[in-house]
Amino acid sequence: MTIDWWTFALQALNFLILVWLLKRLLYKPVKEIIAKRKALADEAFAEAEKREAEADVAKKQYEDGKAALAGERQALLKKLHEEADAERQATIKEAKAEAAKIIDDAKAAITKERGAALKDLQGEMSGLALDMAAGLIKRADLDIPQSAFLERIDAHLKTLPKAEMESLRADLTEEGAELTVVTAQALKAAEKKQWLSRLQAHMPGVETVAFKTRADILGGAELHAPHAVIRFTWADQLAKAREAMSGDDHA
Amino acid sequence: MSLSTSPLAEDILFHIGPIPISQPVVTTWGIMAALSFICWLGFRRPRVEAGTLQTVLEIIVEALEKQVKDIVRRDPWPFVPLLATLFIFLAVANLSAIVPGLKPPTGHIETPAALAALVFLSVHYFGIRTKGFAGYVRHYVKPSPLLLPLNILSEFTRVFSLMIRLFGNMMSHEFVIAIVVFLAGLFMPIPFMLLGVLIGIVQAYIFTVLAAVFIGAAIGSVEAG
Repeated sequence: MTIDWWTFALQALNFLILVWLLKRLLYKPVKEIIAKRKALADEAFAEAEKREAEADVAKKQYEDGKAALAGERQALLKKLHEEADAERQATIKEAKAEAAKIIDDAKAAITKERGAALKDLQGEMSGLALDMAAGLIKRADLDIPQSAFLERIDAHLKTLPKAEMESLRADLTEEGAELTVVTAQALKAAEKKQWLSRLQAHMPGVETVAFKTRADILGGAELHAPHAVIRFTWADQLAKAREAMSGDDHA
Repeated sequence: MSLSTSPLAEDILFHIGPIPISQPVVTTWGIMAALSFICWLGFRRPRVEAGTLQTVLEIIVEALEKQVKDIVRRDPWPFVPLLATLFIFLAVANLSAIVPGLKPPTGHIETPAALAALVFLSVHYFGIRTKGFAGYVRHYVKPSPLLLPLNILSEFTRVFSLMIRLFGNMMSHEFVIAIVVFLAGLFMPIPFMLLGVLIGIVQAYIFTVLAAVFIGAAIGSVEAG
């Protein structure tokens, strides 16, 4: 085997030319592109690091703000709870006071109503009792002589103060003045005569006495002067008893 | 090529003056033109956001740059033009066998010999440039001056083995294909041609890696083999 030295030399030269060509057309552009890309990557990394640092700062600010907001929220919640508690306590106190007032008012109203009802009941009972008493008196047909009532009036006139008696006599001296005796049953002539004589004993100027009958006085007699009335009747006694019963309730 | 002549004899296609131009030289020119055109096409407007061809070329160069860096263990760019061109040229030259009518330049002894001679010179060039002449020459007497003849001899033998390995593989592959075509017809060599693709790339890789190892040893990055 022989070597063609021309081919050997040409191939060596060809390879060196190829190295030169590829260095210009391939390796150099690739190296430049890689360097450029690396520079861009470095720049991007630097930018990313800068952004990361900014993001970290923003994150820290956000977390600080969040923590502050949480603290503020807690304080606000605490304040609101305290205010709500105080308002609740005040409302409860006010409600209790109002409830106590309502209870007191109700108690007072009940007491008042009970008193009124009791009074009404007592009035009705006393009225009923007096009506019953009046009915009984009416139906009892008490056999009390009219002279007994005359005696009572006579005794009353005797014990009458002198000034009053003089005033009564002066009234009867006036024009048209009349002394009237009212009884439940009509008086007999003898009884009328007896009344007249007794009354003239106390009031000498009296010439006549009028006699009237009123069933509603139930019993007894009334002496009517122009300005005064002397009563000794069952109706008057019952009325006084009614007043006494009503007066007791007020006491 | 007739059976009466040596199959290893050069096919002289034409002459330029007194210089005979053989078939491997013309094939090499074609490969050079194709590679230059592809590279020009890929990088006529280099962009950061690369196109398809630019991306493919960048991937190839970066893979080779990484491979060289792993071997020499320093900035690979001073060695990339030689070693990467070596791989690219050998791969394309070896794979040119699959193109009908073409014979790989590496199947002729002159091409592997020329490449081996350039590797031999490059090793000493990079060694002296890195360590200085005295520093570089000193490594021949290490670990003992007694090993000086063996060290000098190994310089030639390893380059010779580099040449013969590539030439032997590619030449034998070419012969096998020719014999199979002669004996079995047109379609039978296809599996052998596929095997030839693998062999071509592996041989280009081996040649390049060994050249990188020799250079790395010369500059002191790796132990001398």
